[in-house]
Amino acid sequence: MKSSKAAQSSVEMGHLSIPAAEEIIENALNELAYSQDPGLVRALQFLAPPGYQAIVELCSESGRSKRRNAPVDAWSPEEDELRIYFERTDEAEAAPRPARPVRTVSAPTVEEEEDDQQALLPADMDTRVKELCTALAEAERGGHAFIALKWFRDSFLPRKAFRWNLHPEARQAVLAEAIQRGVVMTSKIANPKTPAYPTTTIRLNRAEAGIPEETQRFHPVAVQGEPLASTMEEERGEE
Amino acid sequence: MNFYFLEATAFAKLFVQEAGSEALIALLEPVEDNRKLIAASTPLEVYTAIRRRERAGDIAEKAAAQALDSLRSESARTVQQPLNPAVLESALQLIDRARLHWPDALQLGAAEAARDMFQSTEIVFVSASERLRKAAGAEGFKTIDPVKDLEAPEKKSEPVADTEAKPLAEE
Repeated sequence: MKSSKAAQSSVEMGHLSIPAAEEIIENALNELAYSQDPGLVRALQFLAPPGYQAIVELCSESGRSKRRNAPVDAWSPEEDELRIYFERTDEAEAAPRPARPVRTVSAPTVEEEEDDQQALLPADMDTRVKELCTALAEAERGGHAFIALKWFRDSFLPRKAFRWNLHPEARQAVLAEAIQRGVVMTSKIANPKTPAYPTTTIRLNRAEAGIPEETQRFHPVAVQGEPLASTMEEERGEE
Repeated sequence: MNFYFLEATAFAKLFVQEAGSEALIALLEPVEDNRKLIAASTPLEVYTAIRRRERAGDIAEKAAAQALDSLRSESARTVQQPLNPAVLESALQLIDRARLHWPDALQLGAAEAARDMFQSTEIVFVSASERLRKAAGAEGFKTIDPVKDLEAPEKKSEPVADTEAKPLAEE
């Protein structure tokens, strides 16, 4: 079955960025949901609760997130912290959602306050939407079977070095704008883990976004003689 | 919008160029990966067939490597129906109802299990095997033959979501 492996375990740890390390941990936590290890079963309801996606942040001792462009060496297991929280994987959000629970105790910096103001009055919304579309195009190239809205907004998008994407409200506002403009399309797929809550997926509307289609994906190779189907039916057994 | 269950004989057309390949690619290119379904055994079956034809000299070594590489990546992007007890039970019941080989029953059983999972959506059974299309039609699936249904001139311009295929159960 498909699985997102954007942050490959083979990457040298010393060259990892903070976001890449966070993604590795997130993937590992999400993969835990499939573990059959009886020793883990009791812990799984906390580490990988069904219907939730783990979001990981490497933080300083004060609770502030590490800078997105910092190397992973900037985080120390002795002095720093690792924050894990969970997001439901079931909501459709074109409308702004409630703010996340307060997770930091430190006072906001000037940079954060500026970003808050921009979230309220985004004068550069066109640029933001364009950046979001570029990020979505990248996510679509990543080999994921589908792009869950919540994963893209809360996990993938924060890893980009945009000026506006640190705050959940700002990300939601830009995504909602992109959906309203028709450059991002939404749909729903059934979620086998939580059948009552289908997953909202998003897809780039390349024509509207002005992003060209990818080159042809399939390149079948030449075969001589009978169709491959004949070979397969022969293997299965002729009538 | 439809889901497409790509039975192995159809899925193979994405990796080797033969009748129906271009039409099937044209059908599937705009379809989200999460709407393309295969049985978990399908990559192995296609892999085996490609290797066999390579050994027979029908596919060049380099081309075979390219096809197998593409098969691996596309299989990972496509929704795979695990061969779980529900699929095996469906396959057993199919054997009771129709003259099928067990690999055929496994494919169709996987499609039935997927249909049970995605109850609110139509699953179209795509296969190059007439035997399997007949059986699938008898089980209530819409079916598509990549050669006959997609390459016919009048079908080529139809939108993906509106593709209709007639069950062949009565043949």
